[in-house]
Amino acid sequence: MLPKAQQTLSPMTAVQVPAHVVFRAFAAETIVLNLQTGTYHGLNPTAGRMLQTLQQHEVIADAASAIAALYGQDQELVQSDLLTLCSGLVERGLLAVKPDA
Amino acid sequence: MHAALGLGLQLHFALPGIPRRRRPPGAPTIDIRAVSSPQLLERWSGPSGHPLWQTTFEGGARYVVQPGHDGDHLIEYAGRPAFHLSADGLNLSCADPLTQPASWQRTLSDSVLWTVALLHGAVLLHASAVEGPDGAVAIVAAQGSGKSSLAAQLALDGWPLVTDDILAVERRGEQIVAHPGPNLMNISQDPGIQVTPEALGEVLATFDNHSSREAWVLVRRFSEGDLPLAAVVLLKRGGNGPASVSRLPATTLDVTPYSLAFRRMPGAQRRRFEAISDLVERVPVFCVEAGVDVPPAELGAILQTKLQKSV
Repeated sequence: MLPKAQQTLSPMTAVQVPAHVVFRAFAAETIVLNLQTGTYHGLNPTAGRMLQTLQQHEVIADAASAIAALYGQDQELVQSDLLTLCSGLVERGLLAVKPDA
Repeated sequence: MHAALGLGLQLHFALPGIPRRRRPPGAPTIDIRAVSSPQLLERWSGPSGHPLWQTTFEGGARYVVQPGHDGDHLIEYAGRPAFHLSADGLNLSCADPLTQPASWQRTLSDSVLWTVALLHGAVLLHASAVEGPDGAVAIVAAQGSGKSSLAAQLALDGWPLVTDDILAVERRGEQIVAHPGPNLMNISQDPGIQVTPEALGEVLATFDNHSSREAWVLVRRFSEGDLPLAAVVLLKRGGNGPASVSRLPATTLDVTPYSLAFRRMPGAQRRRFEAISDLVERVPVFCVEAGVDVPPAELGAILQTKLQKSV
């Protein structure tokens, strides 16, 4: 895992939900708990769906493709939104960048 | 065998309010014995690190749960070592129980039992609960909002008591199971409280705290074993509006503030998150809002009607 300061996200960045983060999706909100800080976070249903997709497709571009196909949306727009979401989650320690293999 | 809060309990001295019940499947059996104060200290391996939890009860008594070097725990109550739990969690030693006042017994059947349950990994709600037609109805509320008064009213209306203050819950398959607590209630004796303790059972003692007077009651009608959790009710009292009941699109965040965990215990937060999330996915959560002047009898009637329609 890279230090946050070195993490510049691109569509080809692979990310993962760290072991210290748990989440559960509900109809109105996805609840995320950072076990290291004890802080709870709420994601709207779209962001929650994105987080779930990132668990299945670690590369952001792949996750964007899957979400775009699922919802019939423009892939570039979805990718842009996903990069913004990932940045916010990484900043809060809720998502981690995987080092290059 | 006695049982409460999902624990089997083998009692070696008289303790009111711990009914004979079947031990829940897979539950540990805690051997509860009387010892002298020197014997209790002989069993203690000595403090290791910070207390796991500490608080001061309303009556002024300090309660401290201290982990030991060997994995055992010492519980200090009112400034003295009072209880010791062995490293395997199966032997609870109690110092000089025969010489203790009723407040000590109340602490053992309440705080000490739920401390032991938490140390065994139980998931606990700070809730009163009664047994409705479809299972346990758990009532959670901020301190002093009247959850015990509402539970007492429902008990008077014929729904047996499940627990007064702490409810143990457990997921079994797709069901959430409620483990009853002691058949004891603390009923406020303050002006305006309309529940008569004697109507619920035998008053064992009365406690005068700084801000209130409580009757400690051995309740006659109580749940005899585990039962499904049928509903969670968030009780919110304030203002002077009429009572209303609505079903919430609940998430983990609605119920977690009313749950207990020792945050320093490894895995406790993850276990609580998973368990409360499982609960709100499977059990309907209602919000009851009412002005402070709405009597428990009116609240109870509204709630019973709603639950009989919805659950």
